[in-house]
Amino acid sequence: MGLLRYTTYRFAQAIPVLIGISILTFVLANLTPGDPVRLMLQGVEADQEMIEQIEAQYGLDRPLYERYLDYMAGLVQGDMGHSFHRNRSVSELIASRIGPTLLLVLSAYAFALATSIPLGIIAAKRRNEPFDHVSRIVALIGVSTPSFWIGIMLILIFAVQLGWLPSAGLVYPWWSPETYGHDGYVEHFVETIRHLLLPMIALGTLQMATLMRVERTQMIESLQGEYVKLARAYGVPERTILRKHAFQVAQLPIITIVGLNLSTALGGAVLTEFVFNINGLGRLFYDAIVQLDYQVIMGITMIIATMFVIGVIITDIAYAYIDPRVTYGEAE
Amino acid sequence: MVRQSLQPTRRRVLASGAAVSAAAIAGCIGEDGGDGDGNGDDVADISEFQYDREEPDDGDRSDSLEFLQPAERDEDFDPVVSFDSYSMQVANLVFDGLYEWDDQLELEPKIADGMPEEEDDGETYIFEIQEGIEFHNGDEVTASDVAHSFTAPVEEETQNAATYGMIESAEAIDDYSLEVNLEFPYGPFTLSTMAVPVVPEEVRTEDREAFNTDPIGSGPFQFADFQAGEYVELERWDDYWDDPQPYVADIRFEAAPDDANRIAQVLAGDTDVIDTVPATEWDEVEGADGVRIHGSRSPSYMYLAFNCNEGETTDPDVRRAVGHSFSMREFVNEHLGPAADPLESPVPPITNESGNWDFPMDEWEGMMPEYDPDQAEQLLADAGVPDDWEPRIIAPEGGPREALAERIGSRLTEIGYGADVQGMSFATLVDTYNTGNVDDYEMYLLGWTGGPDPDVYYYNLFHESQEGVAQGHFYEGQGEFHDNILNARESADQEERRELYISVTEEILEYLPVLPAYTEHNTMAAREEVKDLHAHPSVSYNPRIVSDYQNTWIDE
Amino acid sequence: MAVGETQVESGAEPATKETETGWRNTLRKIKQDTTARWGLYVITIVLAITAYTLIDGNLSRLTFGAVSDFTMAETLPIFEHPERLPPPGEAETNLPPAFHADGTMSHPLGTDPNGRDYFTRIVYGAQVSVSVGIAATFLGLLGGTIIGAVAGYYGGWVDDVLMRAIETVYAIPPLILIIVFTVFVSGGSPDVMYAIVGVGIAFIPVFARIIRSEVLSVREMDYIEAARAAGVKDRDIILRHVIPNSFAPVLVYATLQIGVTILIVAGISFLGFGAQPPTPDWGEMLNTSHGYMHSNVWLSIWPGLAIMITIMGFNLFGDGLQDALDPRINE
Repeated sequence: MGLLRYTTYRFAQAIPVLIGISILTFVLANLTPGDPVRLMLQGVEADQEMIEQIEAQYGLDRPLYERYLDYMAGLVQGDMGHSFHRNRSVSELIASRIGPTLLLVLSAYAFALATSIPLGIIAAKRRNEPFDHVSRIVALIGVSTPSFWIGIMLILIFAVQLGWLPSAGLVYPWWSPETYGHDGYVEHFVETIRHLLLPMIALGTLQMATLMRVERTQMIESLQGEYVKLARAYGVPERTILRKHAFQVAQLPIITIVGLNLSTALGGAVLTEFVFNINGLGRLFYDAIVQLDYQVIMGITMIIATMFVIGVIITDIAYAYIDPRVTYGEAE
Repeated sequence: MVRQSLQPTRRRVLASGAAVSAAAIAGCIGEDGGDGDGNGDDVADISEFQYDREEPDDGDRSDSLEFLQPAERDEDFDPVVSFDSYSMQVANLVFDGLYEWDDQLELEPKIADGMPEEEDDGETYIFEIQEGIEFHNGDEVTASDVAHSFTAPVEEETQNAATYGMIESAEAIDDYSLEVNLEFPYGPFTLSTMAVPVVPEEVRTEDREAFNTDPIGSGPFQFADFQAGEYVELERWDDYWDDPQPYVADIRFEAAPDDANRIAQVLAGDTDVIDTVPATEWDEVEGADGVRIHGSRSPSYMYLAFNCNEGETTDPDVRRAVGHSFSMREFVNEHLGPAADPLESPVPPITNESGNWDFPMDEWEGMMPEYDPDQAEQLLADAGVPDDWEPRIIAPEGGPREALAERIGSRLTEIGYGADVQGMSFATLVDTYNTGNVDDYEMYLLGWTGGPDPDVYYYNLFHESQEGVAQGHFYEGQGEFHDNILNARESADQEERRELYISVTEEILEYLPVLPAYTEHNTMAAREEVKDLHAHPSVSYNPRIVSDYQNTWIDE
Repeated sequence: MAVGETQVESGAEPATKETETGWRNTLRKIKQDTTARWGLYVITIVLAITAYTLIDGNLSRLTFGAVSDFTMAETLPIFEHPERLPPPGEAETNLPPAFHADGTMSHPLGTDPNGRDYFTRIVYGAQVSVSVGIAATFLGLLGGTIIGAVAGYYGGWVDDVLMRAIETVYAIPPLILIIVFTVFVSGGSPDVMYAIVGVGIAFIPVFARIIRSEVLSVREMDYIEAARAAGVKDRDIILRHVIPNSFAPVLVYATLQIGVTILIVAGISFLGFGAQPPTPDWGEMLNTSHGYMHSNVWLSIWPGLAIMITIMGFNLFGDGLQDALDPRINE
């Protein structure tokens, strides 16, 4: 199977999963003991007639599967329903909030990859030396500490105590510098980075630690491989072995982990956005949960799951593209 | 349509709750502080407003101010539509009121020229307005704009309809005078209803939707930039008709709902002013270098209500026993400290004073149940309450009211009973607290923010017509209780109203359908460079920026 | 898989003796491994504390997550009651830890805003945080094992349907899925019990996948064929042979997963959707102390450290276990 066909195949395979997600969120949302009408009324004394009228207006008097089909018909056209609390369409709300979340998650990944790979390689190379021990401890702390707690501590130290970095919010590079009163694009760029640093580290630490542990293990394994032993026996310089032979093979599992860990990163974004007051999807999700704004909750769950599924597919394709051994027939 | 007509009630409850929960522990100050030497570390006296009046030496008028709000705005900036305090914080700088509240919550004329003429025993009012006031688009403010501002909420069935519902008609007599007719002599009219923000009828009715997110008023600031869910930017309107002209050139509003984060921003100097300093962080903010707390009393009223419809709490003795089982005063002092004052009646002190009600507050204080666990135990035993009684207490999640619910629960446990304390998200709570069902709650903790007229509290929170709407205690009342509340509402005779409210309050304190808890202050924390900033008693008037007794500027 | 291969020789009867040797071998390796040993120490201490607080907390009232009226803790000089408030007027609120100038030795970690001893609350916090972590992981393990084993054993359309369902659940990030589940099912008044079930459901996919792939390899073994030929029921084959012999890698994973679970539950409680006050729980304590982030940072530091140390214990132990079971990396 060619790469193009493989890509098409993977996306086609995602469709039943996406349908499954829509069913799951729909069923969850309709499990609520306080049914949607009561949520909509929120404390208003309503007689039976009024309730029926609202049910009819929103089609809530019809069987669950019919309502689901309606919801799906809407979804296909990009209509995710209506926010009762904010009186705006869910699609519009999500569109306005998805940017900051993507910016946050992607920069957290950039941070994680840029630190974990070099550190993991050096640790593998200097196995059981002090550098290895220190980096293993750092990685261990990284996978064992709640991201939001790291965020709180970073704010207290670097924003409140030292005053080096801003304590909240993001600067969106896609808005013009004038919106923020910045003089030109240089300041705009610098401010974008300054605002990103703390939330990026808070969210990226877990990813960094996870990837570093995988990278180290993989490198150790491939350095012990027959392939490398042979190269050594032939007197290939150690640097070349490291760069050419061991490194490439070791990166393949990293790609898979990056895709799968998108799940923790997207979940962690809810906490990071809460702590750093970032107006992204996570913050919107939290607000919607508190307000029981159930169509918004369903919409965000759908979007985040879709982002995860797409992320995994992209890493799968990247894996297939990089690894010559993959014959594109494998389903998983 | 159904939704439209339902909205007002829902939003009223919600909005006041939102303001309250966001204003969580808003607060101020207490008796200490406020020596006014201007070194910035101390806090002003809550009952004082005009402290540290300073003018910039250089008369610089190019300052920018960033103001952090404690909750997200609904993004409705048309005062006819807007029903949340935080959109109104923006709108109140863009619009002028016919009358406006001063620093002690008394109405003073703004666009109006003097006080209105009252006719027909308070059923008709004649207003004169000043000539030559212009909206930001250059049109003159006329009497028909004012009439429109009075009638539009009802005609368009907006969320504010209930506030202006008693107005039968409002008509311009000529360009600068109008006549307003009420359906009945409405007590609170002259104390609060006339504080209507004036909108330009023509521009507004042309495209209401556009007006809502790009409003034009006659106030000191005009709309400059706006991104829904992110920020609003206002810039000074240089042709403002009134004095003084603001020093501040532009203001940016953003929201930071998480208290810890909002405080971090002002402590780190990332913002100029934050609205609402929670009591939990009071000392830290007060002691921080470069930050100053500003506070004012407010007409907020927090209370514990009992389910008088079902369950053990239908017995007044059981309610009294709960009142004896814990110490409200101790809780308020310990948990809210300078951010609040204990209350003895549904009337916050500032309401009593600004409306010149002169209620017997000291006498009422003496009627409140004191902390006395023995008596509580005795009363509960005499009332035949079962030993395994564990009343369900519901309260908004997080913040002082949940802490108070826990406090009551743990004190009830100490005298051999228990409590099922349930902190709820506001949406759930609003869905639960007014069912009258004993399985939903036996007590609930909520709040209400009113103004200088007691009707707001008594009618909404005690009258039988509000059962299952704004109040969930379902108290039946003895004799004339509900008639008295209604009669006080539909009378313009303040002395008569005062007597009625005293009788209602005394019954409340005797039968305790509700136990008054505390009043939270309005607070802001600002960087020291921000000069001549003062907290206003009304949440939606903050940041006041410019008025007869305040003109905020920044000392660079 | 080493364990699987030994089964082949012993025919239809699973070789319990061989498996035991395998376990003993594993334990011996863990004892030799420094990191695993440290992990074991931490876990043992944390589990001992959890067990103690669980028993104590449930002595007179069997309510999960609520510490009862009577606690043994109070008879010990270092503890106070984890939930009860001091009498009116006697509360010493928000005390800093003992090493701080304003601290006292009677409250080594200070007191909370209600005047309760913070050390006691941190210790009793293990009751909820750790047992929720374990209970939820166990629930996921149970569900995942059943589904994975059935899917792997039967194959065909059963496998397809189950695996698509699993992928669906897997696609929603656990934190989001658990919050949505907790809030909707509880009707807006979340509690830790809902969170456990939610976490359990969210973690079914990971376990199901591991079990399934193990089952796929075990399924082809001769002794399974033999059992089938001898007319043993499918259910019995799955329960008696397939699952026990696929369990080793799952166990490693479960140990590591307990850490992840504690981490996620802490996040959920921090947002207010897990344990509710006054129940002492580390995540919930971080939620409450968030309101005191600037005035008393110690209230945020201690629960965070408790979470960190506990999860480090599980991770160290899991790493050691993995090394012991995985022959690929040699020291």
